[in-house]
Amino acid sequence: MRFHSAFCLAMAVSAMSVTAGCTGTLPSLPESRIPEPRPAELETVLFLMGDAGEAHADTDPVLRVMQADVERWSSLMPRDSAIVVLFLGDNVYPVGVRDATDPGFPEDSAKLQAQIDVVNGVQAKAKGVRGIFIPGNHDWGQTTGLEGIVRLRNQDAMLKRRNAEGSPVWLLPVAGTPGPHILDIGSRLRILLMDTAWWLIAGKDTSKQTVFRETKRAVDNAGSRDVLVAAHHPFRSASSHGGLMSFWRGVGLRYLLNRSGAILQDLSSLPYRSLTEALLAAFAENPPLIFAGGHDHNLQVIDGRGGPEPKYHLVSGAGSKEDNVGFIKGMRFRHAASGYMRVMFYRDGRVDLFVIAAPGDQTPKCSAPDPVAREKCMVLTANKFTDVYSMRLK
Amino acid sequence: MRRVHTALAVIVLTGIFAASPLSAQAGKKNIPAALLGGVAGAGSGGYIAISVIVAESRAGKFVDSIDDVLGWRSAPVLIGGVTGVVVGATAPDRLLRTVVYGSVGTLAGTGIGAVAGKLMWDGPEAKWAGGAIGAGIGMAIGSSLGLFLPMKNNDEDGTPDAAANAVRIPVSFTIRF
Repeated sequence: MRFHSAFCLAMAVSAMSVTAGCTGTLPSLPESRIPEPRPAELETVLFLMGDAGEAHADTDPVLRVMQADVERWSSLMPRDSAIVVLFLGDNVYPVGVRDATDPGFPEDSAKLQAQIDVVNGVQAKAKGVRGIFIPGNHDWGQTTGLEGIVRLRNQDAMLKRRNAEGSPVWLLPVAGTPGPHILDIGSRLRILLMDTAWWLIAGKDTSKQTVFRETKRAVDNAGSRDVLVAAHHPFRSASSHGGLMSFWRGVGLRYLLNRSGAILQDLSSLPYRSLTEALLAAFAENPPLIFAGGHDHNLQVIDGRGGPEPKYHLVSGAGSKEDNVGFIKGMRFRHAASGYMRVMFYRDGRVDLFVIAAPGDQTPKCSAPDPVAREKCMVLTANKFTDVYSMRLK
Repeated sequence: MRRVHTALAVIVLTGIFAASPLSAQAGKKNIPAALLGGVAGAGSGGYIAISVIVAESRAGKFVDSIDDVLGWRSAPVLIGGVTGVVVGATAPDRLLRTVVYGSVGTLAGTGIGAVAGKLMWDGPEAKWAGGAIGAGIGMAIGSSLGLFLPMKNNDEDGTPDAAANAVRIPVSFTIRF
């Protein structure tokens, strides 16, 4: 009897806890829409897509939508080399590009090729659109040391082969190096490309000081250019890597490990915190306009908290997976469905942001075995992607 | 995450299979106790596993993702689950005492650990790390006491059964000639 009473009490407490965990509501965020800019006013258009390493060309409409968008803006933009497509890491799931002799290599190659094709359109090639791939933790093979660098070099080698065949694609920073790699576009934009996965696995590597100094120098001597820092790991995030997740995910293990800072890839881990602290110190005198990352599989727009923080945090990690997104102070927009972002830099200094995504809260996939049915699904689903949010950043 | 679910499925199945013959021996009324024992044991093992992982992370060795939690680090979950099933099936009162002692140990360890963590380390995760490590230690100590201390059995009239309550400590020694 004593045991059964305790059993019932435990079940009741568990039921109450589960209910409590499921009934939390997120504050609603104000909608924002601005008109599409006139191409003649624009200097640079930047596309941001992260974590697309699980997307396939014939099953994931998001790549097709983005390619059509790149083609459209390529045809509209009056000048060449005005469009850059940034793939924000985790370009190939689950463990980067394996060796050519590995049975998984064809699959890895297909995943990377699907993204390369985004910048392979006729208009994109004619207008000199560039596709830049930034490494993420999965591109390092979820590992460290030489094995990780080999995975990155495999990805680099494939991109170089495609480049030699006419596809304008690069892996930056150079495989196995942290960056920052400076990319000045036009007269108004400086992009700092960083391999933040390197930082997390580098431990107490003394070259971190060099990264800090180079980053500081790059933001300090940007002059009148707007600085956008692009990396795989976001600076702030209201999703699972940022610690915002249901307690019951992974029966509480994931939540406790995140809060305790035990998972390297979470913002709460000591190496990740040392990364954001080092960046804050580097940004102290000249905070960047935008810090763009992926890592969490959704779309987020978050205001910086002032001081040395970037003015805006963009999380664009919804290239092939989706994850729930919560709320943190300063959040302007959240969306947990596949999509990407387009940042548009005007000649007169204005900067606009557009978020293009699928409706609803999931990543649509067209996986019908029949090719005709699959293609029909692709067309129908691609047509549902819209500008779900837009705002003036500057 | 799929591996976590697989491990949990293994624990639950282990519980069900282990409970069946034991319950046949100890009476069908012990099936719920065996199942609860499996769940409670696996959960307790989970806390201990977390404390080991967190302690490692404070020493600079991190897991890359939740998938890395499996492997030898998940051994306490399996051991705890199986132990819970066996104890639940054969001695429900001992299981209840183990759960109570373990819970008390966890709460005490969490509190002490959180305070110690905040004093020892910087950062918002310090108190959580200390609490997680303390919870695992508290859980291990509390559960061990609940599991291994002798039970006080009473006769029908409520008087202590001296024979059953006698503490037996096996002693062995070697005499060399």
